[in-house]
Amino acid sequence: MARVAGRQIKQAAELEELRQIQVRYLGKKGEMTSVLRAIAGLSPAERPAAGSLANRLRDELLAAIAAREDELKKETRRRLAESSRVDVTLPGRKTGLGHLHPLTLVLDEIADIFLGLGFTIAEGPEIESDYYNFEALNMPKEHPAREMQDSFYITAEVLLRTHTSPVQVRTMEKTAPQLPVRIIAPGKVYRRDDDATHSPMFHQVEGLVIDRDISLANLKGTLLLFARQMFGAEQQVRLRPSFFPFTEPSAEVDIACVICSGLGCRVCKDSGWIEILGAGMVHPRVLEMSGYDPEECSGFAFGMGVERIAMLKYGVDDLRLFFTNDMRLLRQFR
Amino acid sequence: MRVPFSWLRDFIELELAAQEAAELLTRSGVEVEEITSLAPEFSGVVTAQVLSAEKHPQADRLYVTKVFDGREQLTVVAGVANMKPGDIVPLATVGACLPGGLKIGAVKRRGIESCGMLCSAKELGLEFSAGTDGILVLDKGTQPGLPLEQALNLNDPILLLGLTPNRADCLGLLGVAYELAALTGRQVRLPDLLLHDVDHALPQPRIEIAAPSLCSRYAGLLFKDVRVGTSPLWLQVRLIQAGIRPINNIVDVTNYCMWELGQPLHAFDYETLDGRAIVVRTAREGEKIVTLDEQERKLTPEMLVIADAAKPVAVAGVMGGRDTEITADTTTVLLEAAHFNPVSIRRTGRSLGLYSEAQQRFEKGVDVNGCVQAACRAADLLRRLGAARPAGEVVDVCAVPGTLRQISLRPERARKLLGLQISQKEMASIFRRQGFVVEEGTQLHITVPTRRADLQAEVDLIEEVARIHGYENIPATLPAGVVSQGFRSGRQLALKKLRETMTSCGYTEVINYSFLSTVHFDSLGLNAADKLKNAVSVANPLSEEQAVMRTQLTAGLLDNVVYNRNRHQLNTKLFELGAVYFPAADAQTALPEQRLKLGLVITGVFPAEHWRDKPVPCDFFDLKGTVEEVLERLGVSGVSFQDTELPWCQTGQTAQIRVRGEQAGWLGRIHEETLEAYDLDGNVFAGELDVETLLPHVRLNSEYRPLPRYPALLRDMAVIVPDQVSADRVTMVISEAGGPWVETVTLFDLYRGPQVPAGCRSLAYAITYRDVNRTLSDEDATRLHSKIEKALEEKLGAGFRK
Repeated sequence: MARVAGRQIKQAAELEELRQIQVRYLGKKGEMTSVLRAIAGLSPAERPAAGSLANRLRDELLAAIAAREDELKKETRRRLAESSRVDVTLPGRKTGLGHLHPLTLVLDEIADIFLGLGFTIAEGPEIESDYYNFEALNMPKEHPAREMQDSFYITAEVLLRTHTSPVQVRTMEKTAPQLPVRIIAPGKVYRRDDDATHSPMFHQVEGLVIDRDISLANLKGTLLLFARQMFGAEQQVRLRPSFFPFTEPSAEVDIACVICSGLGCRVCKDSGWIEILGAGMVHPRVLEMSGYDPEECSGFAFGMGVERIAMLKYGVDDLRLFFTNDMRLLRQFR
Repeated sequence: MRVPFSWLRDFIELELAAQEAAELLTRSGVEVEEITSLAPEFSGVVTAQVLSAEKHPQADRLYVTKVFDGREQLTVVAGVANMKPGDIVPLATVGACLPGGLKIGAVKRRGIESCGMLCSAKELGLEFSAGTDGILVLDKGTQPGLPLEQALNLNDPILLLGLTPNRADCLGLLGVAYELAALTGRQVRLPDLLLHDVDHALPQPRIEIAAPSLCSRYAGLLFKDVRVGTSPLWLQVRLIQAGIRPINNIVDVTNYCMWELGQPLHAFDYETLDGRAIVVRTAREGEKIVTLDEQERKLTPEMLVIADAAKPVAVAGVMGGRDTEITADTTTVLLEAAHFNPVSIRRTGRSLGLYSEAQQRFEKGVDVNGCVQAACRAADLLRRLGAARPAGEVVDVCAVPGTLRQISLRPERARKLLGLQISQKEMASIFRRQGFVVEEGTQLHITVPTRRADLQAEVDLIEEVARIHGYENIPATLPAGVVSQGFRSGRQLALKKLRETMTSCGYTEVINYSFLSTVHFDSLGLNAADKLKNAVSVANPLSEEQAVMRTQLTAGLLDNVVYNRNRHQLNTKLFELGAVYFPAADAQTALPEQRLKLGLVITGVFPAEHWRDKPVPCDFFDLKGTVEEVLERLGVSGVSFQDTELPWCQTGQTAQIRVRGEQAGWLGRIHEETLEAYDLDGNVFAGELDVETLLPHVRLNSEYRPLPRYPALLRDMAVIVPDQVSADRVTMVISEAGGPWVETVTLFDLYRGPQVPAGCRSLAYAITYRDVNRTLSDEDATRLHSKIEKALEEKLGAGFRK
């Protein structure tokens, strides 16, 4: 019987079948159970031997059933797994994250660099008065430099700001005569220009530092640090004398061309340098008009075009692309 | 400003190549944008001396010339014979190339072999003045046998300067020479500025400045024995290099001197001046003038004119008049060297639509003390060209004399402002090299010549020191002083979080122009009185597309949807965080109101198509969910949504967003008509949040609430209410009735159908009950549940599906 049972156990193909086998032999009315019960009726002399044999056989059956059960379970799981096998190369299910505009990404990066240098972020209105946009920046009416920035006017006295520099004045007026002033002012600016390198609306980040003994060397050092954070630790900056009515001395600031690393290419017109911003020492008249004594303190200011930096950083060759808001473009930036 | 390099070297001896000089200038702030040359379009053309020119024995219209090309005598057949023996002419030798691709070979013309071709200016592509027709006869003294480009100096490098508006002094070669003198230490060579060979035969012109605020100086110099003709080629070449068209010797000399000294000159035919007088005055109402370009110009009383006794003869500083211009018959010339008010010149030029080289210089400011010198320089040239002889001294009427400025420079201040260790001696030398007078004491007292009007104050001199010493020699250091902490303000943090939340919700950020076309007002279906139609107008837009400042973000976002759909980007979720603008009450001087808005739009299928899932067209609740998510993320509480109507939204799918009762925005399904106007269709949902209203309600700091210690009980409730009872109302009654024990109320099903009376719907809620202080029993929950049911029944007439 035990041999038959053993064979049946081994051949059981389903867990259910195994359970039936177990009931048949080991259940209350099972064959093995009856044998065990029958031992009680044997003579005392026969009982020990028969008892131990029967117990052993029962234990063997139990063990065999357990082993087979284990095998069958494993087999079932294996089959289940096999049947639910997936092609792991099929595309996953994404939540579908959105993208920040590349200009926002660059603006944030610029802001983070200057926040790390102890700057705070100031803001000002995009539609400005002539006073803040020009006059307080040492550009009285009819100043020829006003033409460097052909403006959109609302009325004779109100215009779309042509640069973020009016925020300098607004900040100084609010802060004077306290020192130090360390701000950046990011924002939209507007000029009457529309071609591959100009857009009627674009973004600038203004920077302003006023304190005792601020020097042109400090401006150079600060911008060098910025350039290295933004474009790599090996970056170099070059200052070239220039002219802005609200700074003196004034400079245009170049970085080594990020396309050719300074070797000369189409983008840098073979000069190895690319202009990224205008800067200078705040003109004493601007300081005075905004409530600071130029004998007591000095300052530097700079203004950079965010689109220009984004173009260099990402290798985008047409500034106007940023304002098409083409999903195929926007999705490329993280 | 075009700077022909060899012409520049008339004023300063340089050992530098053009490229090196250009680098020096650029580094000092006088940017050389490009180095170019006239680059002749011919090759193989040499100078040759005419030995003889005789009629061709076989042809009436041909001439046989013998020329010497520096090595040998050649026979050349020519079509004209305007040259005389001894003249030097251009010979296109066999193998030469002429503009237009013409190749010169040895040809027989009527039996006589021609070894090349004698060329006219036109054939060489050279634009010399009228009067240089026929075979080009080169200036006397030209050597035969030279390549023509060398003889005419056509390969001379020309530096193109991109000048900043403050450097008007570099609009003359002499100014550039001074700059190079400062940079190299070389001396400037001044031209002869004295008047020679004056014939005092004629009475002097009467010159009056009637508008001294617009003209501070007017110098006139009379010339007699005028012989109008063509200028020598060397002079014409220089003018062409400068970008000026040669006209005749008199006009050419005025331009030549302007290029050298930066002082514009004008020549009048003196005989045509009524009363032999010059009056510098403003134009009278109704006056007109025909200018040199044959245009009749209406003059206005703001415009400064040069008049004779009767009428305007030139628009001062802008353009001369036709009736007084130099002609072949001119015998007496009045030369003008004046100083005009830059602002007036600019305004006049703008209103007449003119922008001459002279005007450019007057606008940027010429040297008020340069007038007389320029007149003398012109006189010297005219005399040397045999074109005219001065008939008197310069009549110099000076209404406002230019005074020399003396500015003190504190060396220590310069060192501090630049962060540069530089000696006082070096600073003094920088100024002396440019010809400034410097007195040294504890400070430098510097006398600034009037040609450098940009140097007004100490700080300008400090820049001069930095510029000439070289910005590359300024060290790079970080500011010292108190360390300050950089941080984003609450507002800036909120906006950053807002953007991040939007991208987490799957929205992509766009940035649209702040201005748009008024056509959008109609597309959005705005009626005449709509506040959104009251936009700030741009007075001088680039196009109608950019005529007004936006009052909402939706139009731009719909444009973005169209743009992307046209490029097969059908499923888009976009947002923009940007300002809108509304006119101020006092629009003339007050600034418009600027409000920051968050605009969002969603269209297409979300989640996007996937091989496992069926795509679902997005709907109102996708957009609303994002709005809720964003407001939750910003910690804004007390948000509610109410049915509303908007012209560009479909009625019944439009909601007003309120924050603690305050209107904070809207969202809804874009109306069919608006969609049509944008050439769109299908499901497009949009919304705008007024960020300025939200910001005071933003709470960015998260607050910890202890986790529950006692279990919750979950019970469902299917509430049947009439359609007009909003879900919001039901939730409110549940929360009120259940009191603090109701933890969450979640709607999980909405049903209309056979088991619900008509005009009603069944809302199934899962309500979580919890007491924070103890374990709720089943009886507690049942009691609360029936209390809620009772309240719903009483307040909303609700029934229940059991």
